[in-house]
Amino acid sequence: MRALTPIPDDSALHGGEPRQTTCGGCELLCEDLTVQSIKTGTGCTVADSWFASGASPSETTIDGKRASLHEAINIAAKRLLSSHQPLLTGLTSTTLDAIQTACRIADYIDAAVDANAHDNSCLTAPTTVRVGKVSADFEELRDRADLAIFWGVDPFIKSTRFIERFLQPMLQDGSRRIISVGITPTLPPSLHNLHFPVPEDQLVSLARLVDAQLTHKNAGNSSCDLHNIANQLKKLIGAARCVGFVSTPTTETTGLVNWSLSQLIRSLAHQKPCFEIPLKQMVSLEGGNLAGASAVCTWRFGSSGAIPLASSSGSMFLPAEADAQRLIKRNEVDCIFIVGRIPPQIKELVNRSSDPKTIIHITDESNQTMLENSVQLCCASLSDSTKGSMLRSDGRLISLRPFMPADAPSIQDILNQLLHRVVADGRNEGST
Amino acid sequence: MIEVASSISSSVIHDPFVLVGGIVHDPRNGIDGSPSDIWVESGRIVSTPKDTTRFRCIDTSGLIVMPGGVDLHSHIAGPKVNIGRHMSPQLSSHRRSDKQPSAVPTIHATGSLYASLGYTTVFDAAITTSAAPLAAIELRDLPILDKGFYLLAADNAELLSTLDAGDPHHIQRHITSIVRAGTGWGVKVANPGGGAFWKNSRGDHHDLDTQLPGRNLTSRKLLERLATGVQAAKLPHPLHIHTSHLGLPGNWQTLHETMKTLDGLPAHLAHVQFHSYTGGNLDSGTFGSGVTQLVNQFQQNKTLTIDVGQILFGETVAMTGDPEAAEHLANTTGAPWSSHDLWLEGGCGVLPIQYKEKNLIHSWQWAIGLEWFLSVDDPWRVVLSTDHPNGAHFTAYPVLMQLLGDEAFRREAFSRIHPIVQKRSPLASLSREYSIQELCIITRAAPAKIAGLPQKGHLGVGADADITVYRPNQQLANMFALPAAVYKAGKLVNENGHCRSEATGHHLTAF
Repeated sequence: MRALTPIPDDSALHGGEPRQTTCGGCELLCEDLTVQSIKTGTGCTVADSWFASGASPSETTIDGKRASLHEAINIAAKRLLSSHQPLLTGLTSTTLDAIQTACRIADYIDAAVDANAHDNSCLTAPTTVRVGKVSADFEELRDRADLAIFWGVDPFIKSTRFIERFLQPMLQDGSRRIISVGITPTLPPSLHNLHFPVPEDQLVSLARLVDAQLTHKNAGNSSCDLHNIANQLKKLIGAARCVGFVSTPTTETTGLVNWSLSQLIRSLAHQKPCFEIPLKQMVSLEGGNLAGASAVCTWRFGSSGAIPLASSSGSMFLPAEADAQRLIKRNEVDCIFIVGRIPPQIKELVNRSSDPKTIIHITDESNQTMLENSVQLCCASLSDSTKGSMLRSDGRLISLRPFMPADAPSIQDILNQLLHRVVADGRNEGST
Repeated sequence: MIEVASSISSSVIHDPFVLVGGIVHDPRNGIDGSPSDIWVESGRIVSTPKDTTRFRCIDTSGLIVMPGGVDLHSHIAGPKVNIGRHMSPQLSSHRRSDKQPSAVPTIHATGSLYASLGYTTVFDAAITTSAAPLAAIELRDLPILDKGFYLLAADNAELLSTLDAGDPHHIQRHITSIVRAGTGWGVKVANPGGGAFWKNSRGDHHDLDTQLPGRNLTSRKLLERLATGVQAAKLPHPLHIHTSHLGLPGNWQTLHETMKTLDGLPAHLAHVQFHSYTGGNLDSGTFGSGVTQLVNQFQQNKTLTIDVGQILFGETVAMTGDPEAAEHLANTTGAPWSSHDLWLEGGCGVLPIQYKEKNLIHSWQWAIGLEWFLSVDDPWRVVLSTDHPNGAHFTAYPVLMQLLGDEAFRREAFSRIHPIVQKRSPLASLSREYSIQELCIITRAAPAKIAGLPQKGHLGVGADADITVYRPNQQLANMFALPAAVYKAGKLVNENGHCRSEATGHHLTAF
């Protein structure tokens, strides 16, 4: 474990103020943490894990044996080029620049691409296509919503800093009301914090009921209790100036909770300021740049993930078909190119796989892929030594603020060298 | 039918070279279809050298030679474009049976397709200041073309406060700092002050003299101060204005008032077609064309320029930095609607749309756009645009060029639109045909001049060697859809529709 010794000219005290840094651990990308709080504990389990990861430097290895970076890049390029079914994955712990370069490599070697956004995409993509999405930046919830409604939100939200950062700061007139709709209250009930206990399997009915009441349509049959809740919600929504709904992925697999809520928000948004804050993947130790990976894949390939074949002129989007986990499970990849920290589910699949695969892994974590037929390229810590930016899940660009000197080449440098090598070797192969 | 000339070499050609004997259209230098040689070296057009032996000769006799196209108003990058890519998967290229490109292509396809039409420069017309760094990263992936964007600076809360305070010096400095920090080329305002109304309430379709919520500023004052500030900041491109009430019946009056407000101030009015309607609550008449009144005003305000934002029939995706307009359209059509409110700024709205020939409103929109093109006397003040992808995909430009340059083709199309529009539209009596030279002006020379790009849009000595070579064809749509060759900075990038090189273009920044 390295000692935490900040970069000398970026010392902990910065103009008399504690030096701030950014946590890339989850989609909130908190940029108000201090170097001091990282030492003593941030109060957020995700942030503490993020900064602890990568603190033990990894080693550059080829097939488990130490190697120079130059040698490892050459071998990695050869193996990427010789693979028939490569897959690019990882990505969410890295910067936008790194993702962009990784996607160029994927394009060059005709890889499948997936940043593990498939579960979310399966549920939200059809809703976006049929209903749309009315959303806002997190700060809009903080600064404008006098009514915040947590809709079936998983309690894990309490383990992050979302409530502290975006709901506890009061509006100027102190008028914000917070409602939890779901099994458990998001905040302790009080005069300003209400809880309507609704089982997950009734969230769809409730959303439709409120929507029908707001738009004066026939609501259909439902229980008396649900009607009462819908009436109360209608009154509270009617009295509010601006309504922000906070949602998270639920355990139901049809996407109907998402669909019905989006429809309700859309109806309401035609009448008054109203938006959804869809939280996607709060706890993800492999990094918080899911939105960045999705954005780069979208502008480069036209799809946010689950891409069977990278093509810069436009790729198919095949969630539940061409996502990383399924491709690996079905042995439809022979080379896995992991950029950044390895998602736990991918690591498990690789370890369990009976069919040996080539692994190319650029990481800051130690002993990740010390396997046969693997190349591990050691990069500087992604937590505290990497410059660049990530995309928060609401689409806001957040700069990373490294505070430790880099003890290895940056992930961007390694990717640039690898791209250069792949292109050069590819041309040579083409010419022969 | 003019005979097609022989193809030029298929090998990738770098400068130095000379295009020999082409029929050159270079309006800025007064050349209108005269045979001439174009000498190219180090990415630029040079005068006839003393030593010509170093220059490869390319025979372009019988071919039409023009500067590369400049698209002054398009939507190609940034978060709203990415939302658009997600919204209509059925409009992606591999889901379309007719080989059409995606309604919202990937960034790479965008560059390649533009180049395949002979375009070499493009501007995204609406990037918020907070999205500018991300848009700049995305534009790095746009191949071939030089590219830039206009910042939606007036949606920025701090600049709004500065505009509200009204100190001209402070406004100028603030604009400069925003454009510099955001690596922008110009400043755009979408629905001036509209974001404030949108976030405060819904359905509050203000006029230009209503005060913005919580401020002493009105939309009219905002326009005046912003246009003055942009001029004082010496940005290459004047204020780029998408005025209020886009798409609403009766909105011609708002555009008319906008023009009067800007009297004497340089400004560019974007997609005027969407702002030229009579009828509705704002007007006692029925829905129709307000172009006649607007053109009269426009001809008087010599400091103003326009792009048209022509619609063409088919499916596309509408996207705008004017969330109020998108909400109105979504509410009217019931189409899927994406909207995102940005912190301390405006937001965006995205939704799919289909323009139908037999739809009364869509027919009016089609006719109004063409009426604008054919009514303005001075082509140097008009830019061809479809507000891609809002009115139509940019790959439909060749069809639009034939609609302008071929009256018979236009009349045949006119005969298919809604009969009420056929009966009432002034387009019925317009017989003007754009010449090749005029088409060259509205797609090259004028947009380059209006954008503030002295090195583009012409073929004079010192200009960037962005050159398109076409085969003459009376079917103008065919001619403009498939250049024989396209050169970007002296390098062959496309030949007969085939990409020959993917050189990276420059990010054009004002500072």
